Amino acid sequence: MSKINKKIIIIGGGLIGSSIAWHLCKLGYKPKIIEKEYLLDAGASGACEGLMLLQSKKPGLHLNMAMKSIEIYKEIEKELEIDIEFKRTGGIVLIHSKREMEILKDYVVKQKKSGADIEMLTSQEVKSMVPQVADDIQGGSFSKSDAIINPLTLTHAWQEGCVKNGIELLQNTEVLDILHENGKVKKVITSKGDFEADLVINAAGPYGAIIAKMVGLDTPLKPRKGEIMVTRAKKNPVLKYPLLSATYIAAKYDPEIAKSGTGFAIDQVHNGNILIGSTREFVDFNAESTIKGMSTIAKSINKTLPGLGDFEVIRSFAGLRPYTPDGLPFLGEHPNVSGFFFACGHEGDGVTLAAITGQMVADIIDGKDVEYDMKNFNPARFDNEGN
Amino acid sequence: MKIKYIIEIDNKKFTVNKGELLLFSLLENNIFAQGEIKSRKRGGYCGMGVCQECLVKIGNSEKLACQTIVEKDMEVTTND
Repeated sequence: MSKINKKIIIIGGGLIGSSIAWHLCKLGYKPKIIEKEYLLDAGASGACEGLMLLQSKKPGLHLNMAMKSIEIYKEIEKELEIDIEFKRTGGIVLIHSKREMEILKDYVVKQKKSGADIEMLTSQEVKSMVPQVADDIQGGSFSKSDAIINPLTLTHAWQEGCVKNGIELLQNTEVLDILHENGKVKKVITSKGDFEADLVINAAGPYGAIIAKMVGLDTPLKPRKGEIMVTRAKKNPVLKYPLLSATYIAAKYDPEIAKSGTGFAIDQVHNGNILIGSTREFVDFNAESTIKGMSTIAKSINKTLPGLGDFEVIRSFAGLRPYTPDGLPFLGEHPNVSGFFFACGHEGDGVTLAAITGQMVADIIDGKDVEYDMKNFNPARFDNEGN
Repeated sequence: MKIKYIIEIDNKKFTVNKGELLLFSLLENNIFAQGEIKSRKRGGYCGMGVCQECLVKIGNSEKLACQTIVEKDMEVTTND
């Protein structure tokens, strides 16, 4: 079958779906993109801060993919016709306690072994790079590869590239069911008609488990809510680097630390607004902003960055990110349903990993060799655990 | 007859209608950007006091153009 005649349906028009479509398009395929909402960034893609921090990625595969992904962004920035506001700012992880310091020291050694350019910083070094930081800061780590990007313009840049090349994008279209026969996908039933399919790609982010259920698969993917506050735009640079609290990383290793909170991330985006996030909460599909969430973030910022001073918060937003039990996405074809591909479950790493995910999935479909060990992402890896 | 006011926007004089919102006066006179951050122009977007993008200076105080009715001899600075 020629590439152009292969009927590929991508469910989800967010960052991941758009990246896959764009990469497939470059290889000569013509997938159809189905998006439930009108806005392409209605889900997780529009509910983030646009941070691309290598430092928050697990040493090994996860980190290597992030490194590769940032390289891809650097290359495709020139190809895309919309400014994606990609900027290699470098980023700092702020360490608040002795326990966090122990964990981070070990973590950074492992990250360096994976080839990442990450250095530890003394508390004095942190203070000179981030003048607003509290006196009792223990130290930090720095990577000059950390970057920021605008996830909204990135999604649109990819989509525009696709649509210009004749790819059909169906907005406001809900997938109602997926017909499958003898363990093979056949047809996607949507609110705007039925579409025959040779391949179906589940890029539905936090809704990934609902889509998987349509072909009879149980997937331990859950929505996890994050709330973010936006300040009024500041003309002058207030923060030179995006900052991430080490609590965010350390909490994954020490449940005691997790009890004290989830930490925060803060950065000043291209337009001058400062984004402060984020909570991490399991509240099913409820994506409301709450006073409680905002006050949690504000308290944690005040404690660590007292020198920031007063800022007017002009709005807040919240969104759902797709959580998986081991923090790795589901990528690739499910062994039990031929033609049903997963590309979801990136949680907070979707922005960083969207480029590499798109390239990997497109390469797999094209029959190319992929340099990463795909069994780590096997969508069936939890299938025998009673999920 | 409708009453007109003369107001000053960025040191230039403009005739506007009494009773209208400052944001409309700005748009009617083709002034779309109220601010410029990192060489990207920004201006009124939501028109209902939420997005903060139509922030201007009136005299010495900051106001949202979409929440301000024009007044006689108002002095407005859009890009500050």
